[in-house]
Amino acid sequence: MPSTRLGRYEFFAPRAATVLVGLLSVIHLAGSSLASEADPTADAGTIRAAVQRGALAAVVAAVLLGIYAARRGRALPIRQIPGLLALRQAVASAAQVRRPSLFTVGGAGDVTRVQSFAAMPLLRLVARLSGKYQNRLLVPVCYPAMLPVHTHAIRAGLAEEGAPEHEVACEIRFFPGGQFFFAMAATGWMLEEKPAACFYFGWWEADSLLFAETGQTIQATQIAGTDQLSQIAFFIAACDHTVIGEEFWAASAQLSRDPQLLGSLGAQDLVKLAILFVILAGILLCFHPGFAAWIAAAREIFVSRGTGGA
Amino acid sequence: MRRRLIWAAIFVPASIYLLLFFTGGALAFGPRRLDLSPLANIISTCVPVLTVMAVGLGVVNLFSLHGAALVKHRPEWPLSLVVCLSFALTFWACVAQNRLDARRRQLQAAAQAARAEVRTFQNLSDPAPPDQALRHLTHEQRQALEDLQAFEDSYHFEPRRFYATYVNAPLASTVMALLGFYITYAAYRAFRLKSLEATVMMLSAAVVILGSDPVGGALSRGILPAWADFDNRVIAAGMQRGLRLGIAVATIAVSLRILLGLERGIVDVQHKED
Repeated sequence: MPSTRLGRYEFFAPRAATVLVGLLSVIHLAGSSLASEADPTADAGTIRAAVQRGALAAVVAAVLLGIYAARRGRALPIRQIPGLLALRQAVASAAQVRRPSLFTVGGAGDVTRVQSFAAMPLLRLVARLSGKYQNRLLVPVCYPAMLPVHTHAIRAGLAEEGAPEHEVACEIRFFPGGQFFFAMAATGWMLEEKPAACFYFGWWEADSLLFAETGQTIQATQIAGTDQLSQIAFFIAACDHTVIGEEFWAASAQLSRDPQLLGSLGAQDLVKLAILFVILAGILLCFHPGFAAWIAAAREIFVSRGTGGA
Repeated sequence: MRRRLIWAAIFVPASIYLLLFFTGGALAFGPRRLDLSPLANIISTCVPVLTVMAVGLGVVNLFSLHGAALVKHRPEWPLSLVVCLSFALTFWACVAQNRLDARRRQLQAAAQAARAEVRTFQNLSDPAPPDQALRHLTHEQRQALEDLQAFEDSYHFEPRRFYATYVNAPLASTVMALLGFYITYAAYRAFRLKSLEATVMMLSAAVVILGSDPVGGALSRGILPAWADFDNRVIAAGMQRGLRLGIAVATIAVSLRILLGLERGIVDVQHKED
């Protein structure tokens, strides 16, 4: 049943989107197969593009169905992520020692990165906890477009806690000039204020280690999360807790325990299970001589770099 | 109402781009075709307009804030003075550079016609000596070539280029150089045997380091390089591919949740207590 608090459009949007994406994927796949039958010279790039779009449509449909199932009370159980559980404790500990917390999406966290937006629920939680414990929160920002996004997340967190007046203790500072200049200014601010808890979430590049090592110097509890594989190693080496890869994307669902978000997480796991099944089936088929031609054709399409791929 | 507007501002353009991806640019209803590209063009035109508006507002805000601090002699007014002076200096550098670039473009455009004339003549009577080709130019064309040559030969102070080459790049390089020190320090800390996982990480790192080194290979009679290769090609590659798969699926899911306004802290449509 549609909840009055959620609003009618939120109830219908996932259903409408599910139907739309489902229809599109069916139309697209049917159209692609008909086209390839009609045109025997369809190259590997065309087939690969069709399969990629079909796969995207399938993932989108699975996630929407997961949200839909969760709304009907059929969400899958989700395991806890230790790094995210430690987040609440870190803010509380910082409040105990009367030192501020720091949250940043880094010098590469521009508005064009969806990772920056995925980090906002975490900022919202940190702001909420800072409001709860009446502790200061420092938020360095590199890009002007991200300023209102950060402000909004902090205000929303404080409003949730019922402490909107605490906004004066949440300092958002704008340090422009690009990745490294931002890192220098923000780490300088860190050395000056000595936050006891530092949180680094979002899209991170070379400045990750500058922040993490500065945090080590001031003996802060550090929790980081990114999906950038090249930076995960640095965070693991320098931070107390690291939220790795897709765990970062699951953060908002994990923290809010919202059934709809948890439903989408369950659907992701099912999609990964399906991918695993495809991989295992591919491995088994490799051993069967009857499928050698199929495997060779699939390798030709997906492994070789043909033209026309999406 | 505000939240719904924000949600709509995200949902509508994103849906159009999603449709563009799936349909390849147009929706077909029997013989009729609905071209989605103009809609996408409108959206992509809106982005720079909004950006320029935001920058304009930012400049006004900057000067109203720091101007007030200067006029009222607030405690940190010297910093406000630095901000205003830096802005003025950067603004002047950009304006001066743009004027210089405009002059260069003007001279190049004038010289282009003369060069085309020379090329045409050389093509007609190939091979023609350059001096002979130049003799066919009009006085204005020759003057344009000489002006461009004089402009290129003379020294012009280029503020933006000077800032980029002699201020910005060295500072960025200095910060980048700091990373070398930080990486060494982090690696030293990672190599301490504080847990089972850290021990495994240290051992595999030692194998990769020694295996990639000729001395390690010679001492272990080729065993360590083979282990290091196996570690890189099989274990690390498998882990990375697994992570990439998970990240790709999760990225789609989160983008969808943002699109539908389900993510908290962005569109803020839900008010459930945690």
